[in-house]
Amino acid sequence: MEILKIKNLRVGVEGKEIIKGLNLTLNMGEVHAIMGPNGTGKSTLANVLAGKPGYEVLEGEIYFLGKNLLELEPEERAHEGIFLAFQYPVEIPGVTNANFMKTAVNEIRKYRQLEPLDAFDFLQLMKERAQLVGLDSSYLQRNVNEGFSGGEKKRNEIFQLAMLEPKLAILDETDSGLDIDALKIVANGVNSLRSPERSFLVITHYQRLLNYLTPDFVHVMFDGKIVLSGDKNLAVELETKGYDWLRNGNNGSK
Amino acid sequence: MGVEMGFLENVKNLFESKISIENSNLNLANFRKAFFEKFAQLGIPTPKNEEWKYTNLSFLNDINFDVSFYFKDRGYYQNLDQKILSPPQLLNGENFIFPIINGHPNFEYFKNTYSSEVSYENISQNENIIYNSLEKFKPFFDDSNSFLFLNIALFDGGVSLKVQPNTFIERPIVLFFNYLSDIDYFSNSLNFIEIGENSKVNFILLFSNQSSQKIIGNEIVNIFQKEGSEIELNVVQYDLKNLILINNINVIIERNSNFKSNTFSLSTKFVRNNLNVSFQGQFSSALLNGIYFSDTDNFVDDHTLIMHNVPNCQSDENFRGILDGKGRAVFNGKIFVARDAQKTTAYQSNKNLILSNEARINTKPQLEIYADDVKCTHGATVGFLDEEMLFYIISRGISKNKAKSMLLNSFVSVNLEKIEIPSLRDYLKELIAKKLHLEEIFFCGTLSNTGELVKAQE
Repeated sequence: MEILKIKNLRVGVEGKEIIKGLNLTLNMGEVHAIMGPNGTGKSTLANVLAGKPGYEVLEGEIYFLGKNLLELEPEERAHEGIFLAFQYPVEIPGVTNANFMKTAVNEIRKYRQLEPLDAFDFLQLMKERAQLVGLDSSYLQRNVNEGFSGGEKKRNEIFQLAMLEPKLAILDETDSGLDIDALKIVANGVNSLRSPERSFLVITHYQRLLNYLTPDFVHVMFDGKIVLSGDKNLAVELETKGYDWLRNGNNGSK
Repeated sequence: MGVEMGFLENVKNLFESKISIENSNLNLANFRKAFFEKFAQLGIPTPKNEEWKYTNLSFLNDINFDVSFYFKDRGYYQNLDQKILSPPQLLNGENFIFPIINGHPNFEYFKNTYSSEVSYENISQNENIIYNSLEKFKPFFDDSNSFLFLNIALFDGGVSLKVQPNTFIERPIVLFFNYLSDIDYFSNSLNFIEIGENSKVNFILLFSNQSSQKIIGNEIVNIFQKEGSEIELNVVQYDLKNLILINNINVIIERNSNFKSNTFSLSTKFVRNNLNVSFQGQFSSALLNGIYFSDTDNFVDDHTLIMHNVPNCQSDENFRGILDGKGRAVFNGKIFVARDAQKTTAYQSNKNLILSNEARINTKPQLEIYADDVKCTHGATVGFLDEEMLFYIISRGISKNKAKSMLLNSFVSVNLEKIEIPSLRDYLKELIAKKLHLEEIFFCGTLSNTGELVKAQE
């Protein structure tokens, strides 16, 4: 079953075209990786899917579980089951992780016509999900990302993913800035969240995260388009040949 | 100059009537005269006066207060409806209430609530209090604020409260400044508070206006904190339509004492708060917090002055403002450190959040430091709601309005949590939530407190 279908997507930022005709289809339960050099539009794609303001869709369509995604507000996209793990998570002084997540979880539950979680159940859930990414429960009482190290911020993103239980999780360079131990923790967290009802779109510059995540498909993005698609071996091939291999004209897609 | 004549003439009429009524008392008349002459010499402050640069008072000339009402029979103020005398909701009941209606204190009402640890006197019945107490506060009578002089020339009455030494009074004392008039009116009250050695007490100065017509309030509260004492002073100004308020608070702090103030101004037509603090003994501290919210065409001006006259004192000042609509605000924080005041620490911060394109804030820190071994910092910020933060919150499924609420909440909650009186804290949280149209009250005391604790331990 298709969860995400992107057809001939063109996106501009401040008058400059960044995504230049992109096609991509994800089925339920699949893990897709998008690789590619810096500046080819990978993060733009992630932000457009989440509905960040400032991006102009020039052409094309995006369907999420059959709904026209581009007509939905960002919070509605979250309600429908889209989650973006930010490349640069934002610090919010004065709002605790607990308050933040409690509000978000209950908003999403409201949309799904579920009763709000009471304080006790919520705390239990938080503690359980925090353990998945090795966050101490004292983190929950700290302000969102405030004073967190780079690794803690990325773990907090995966913790939020675990709390909100999306149908499509987009990881935007979640591996950047992580040392090998933190990378393993994050990857283990993601692996434990894999399910036949959840798809992942993993955006990364390097192959190393994919050593732990084992994607079903790997796509290579270059100059605003997907130029090559394959299985996990494509990531290994890229790692040895480098992105220059693409620049040297070898960009006919399979 | 022409435009100022209206107010000055009105005031002059008032003063002359006052003197003629009090003509049996030459001492007081002469005393008042000296202050009136000083006022007349200084005039109403104009924007040329640095301390009033952004606070234009020319509209005072449009207000014609009626002299006859001003000298209503004293009995009028002693037979007021209980509704006028009692403050709203949860601030009522458990506290000591001292109503001051149009500048006239109501001693009868206070008698029913007061505690024996607090003695009180009507300054109109013992003018020696005025002469003696005022002497200590002379240094605050600065040429930049002629309203102080005008108050002494015109005051109708006031209370002198004394808290006995070695006393801890748990219930707050509320000075309830309420205004009630169906004609334009000018109120002046002169009040003294003395905190005995090693005593601890909380105050709430609550301002409220029931008038249909314009009222000018020019009130003075002089506080003398004796050695080893501790007070928390909360000033609450909420929805003050028709009231033009000049609220003068002067504080003298002796050795080993702690002063703390929380000033809340929420939707005030025109408020100028002059909060002046003077350290006169070592090892004391002053914490000045404030939250102001100015919307529609409201205006609020917080002027603070902290005088470090002696060594080893600390001051910490933190004012946060939110501006919406055509709201305006002024913040001016002056810190003075005398040459002998070594080992002073003084921190000041003023942060502002602007929600509309037509709102305006003028903020100015002023440091005057003559000592060389001091730690002083100050900072002022003005900004809009952070778009990156908003999107981050919204992307988690939280509506845009709720996301704004969260950010506004986080902006003010730091200062709200500093209020020590639980009932007042809850009351203000409700008022602020209402003012900011917060979708939900997020001020989760326990949660955010724990958060701060965890941080503090690191």
